[in-house]
Amino acid sequence: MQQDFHYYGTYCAAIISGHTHDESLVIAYSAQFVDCCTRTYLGSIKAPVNAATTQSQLELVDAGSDPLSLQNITRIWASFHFLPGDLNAERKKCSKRYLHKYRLICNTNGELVRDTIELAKGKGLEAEGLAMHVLADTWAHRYFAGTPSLVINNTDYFFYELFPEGDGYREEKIKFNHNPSSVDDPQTRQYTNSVYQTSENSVMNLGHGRAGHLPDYSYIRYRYMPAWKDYDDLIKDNPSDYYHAFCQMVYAMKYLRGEKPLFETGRYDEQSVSPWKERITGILQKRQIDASEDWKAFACELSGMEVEDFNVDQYQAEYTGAVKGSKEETYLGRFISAALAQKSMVTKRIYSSGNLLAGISVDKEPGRGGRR
Amino acid sequence: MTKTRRIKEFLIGIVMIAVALLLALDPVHGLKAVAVLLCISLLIGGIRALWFYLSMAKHMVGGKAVLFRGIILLDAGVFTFSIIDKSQLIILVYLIVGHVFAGVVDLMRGLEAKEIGSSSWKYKAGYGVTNLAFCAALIIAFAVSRDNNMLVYVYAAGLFFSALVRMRSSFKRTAIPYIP
Repeated sequence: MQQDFHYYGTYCAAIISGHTHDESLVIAYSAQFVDCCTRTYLGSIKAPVNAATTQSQLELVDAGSDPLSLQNITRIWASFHFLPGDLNAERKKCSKRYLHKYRLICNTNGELVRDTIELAKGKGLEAEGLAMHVLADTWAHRYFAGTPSLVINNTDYFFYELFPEGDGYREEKIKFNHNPSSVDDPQTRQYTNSVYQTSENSVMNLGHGRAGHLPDYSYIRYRYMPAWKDYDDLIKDNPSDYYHAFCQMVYAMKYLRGEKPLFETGRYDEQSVSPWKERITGILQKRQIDASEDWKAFACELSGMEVEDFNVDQYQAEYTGAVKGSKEETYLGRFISAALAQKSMVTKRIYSSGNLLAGISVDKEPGRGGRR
Repeated sequence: MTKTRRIKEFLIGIVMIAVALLLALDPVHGLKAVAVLLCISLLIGGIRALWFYLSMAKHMVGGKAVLFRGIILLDAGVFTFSIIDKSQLIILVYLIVGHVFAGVVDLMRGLEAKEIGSSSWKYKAGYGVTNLAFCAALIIAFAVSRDNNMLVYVYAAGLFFSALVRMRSSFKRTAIPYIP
């Protein structure tokens, strides 16, 4: 997912769930900031670099393929962008090494989604926004793993875009190139993806790199063959998935606001969203690689307020200007605490399942007892 | 290119220069040493690929390609081992065939890169053409001189050139799409 859904889409969901304009802005900022908070950024403001929620292209270029570097990559991408769907998934007749990677495949409505939402409860709007990013990404990034893996994340030439026609779909071939300067073109179905690398742990095989940005575009429906599914193809219906993500965010934020007594997976607040269903599906289905303008217009209509554009440096001065000891009271301070808690929780869950791919967790949650 | 990969490319370049010097100074024993090194690297590559297939890639769509790569590398390694004690000429012919194959692959990759609009196509295609030209030079040198040692000297010069290109590429900025 991109800024259009993480920032403006989350703002809209927050408004529908009952948050005020100001609260929704903080939540939306936090949801989008997950895609900006790199070690490099945190280092530049003298913040704890372990709270990084993403990695820049340069950081990935320099990342090694030794076990510690791979654990660092996995901690970040599995915790914030590719939340594993089932850490105890079974697959017959495979090695432990394969199984551990297989269990990191991201999917919706897993136990970790519930844990993520529950962890954010009572932790403030920053934690709420961060949790919304993680929840939304489970829909966009499902079927890919947040760890470098050829055997899980690789794809081949079998990629077809699906266009609704009559009772079924018309299929058109999707073409990929590896040119970094090339812009994805929905009209000609020319997209950029990462280069095929035979090395299992190459960063080229991280997440949905081999499928390009297709999972990040809300309009597209496509059929492809994931590396892990025994030659069975998969249909990814992004408009439907993104709509489910939106309705689940509304439901989750109602829980976080105290309107719902508990958060259950597989539940979506379609009733609250229904007055705007046509408008939202219209935005989601429009063939464009950046829907920010449409989402922003909808956001302004919804709240009747001006929704300012995302500015990554908005809270930087507040953090750097705060005296030692009071930094945790700033916006970035609270975001960093939420990020550390989320990363720690996911890493611990992965580690507890007997899987060392994310390393060993330092539990930031009081009373949950972690280990170093 | 990652830092580790850059360091690896640079070190391989240094090893190639050392091998080129060894060949130029002692063509007979140097050529055997090259064959031994090639044999070991092919065997290790083959065994690694087969192990990766058995432990991971057999569950992957298209994983059979890893199995075939492993078998071919292992086979080439065993074949290289079998010709180490044979004549200088056979080893050289074997190395030249390897270079022709690498040259054709590089050229094809370069043309493929051009088709998709990648700026790296000139480098890849140029490397392929140089490899093929180098093989042609080897054949001409042998046809003219009929001297095995002359072949080894030309081969050493080519190896030296390849090492310089590899070391230069390890410092080159690369733009590759990383899309997690």
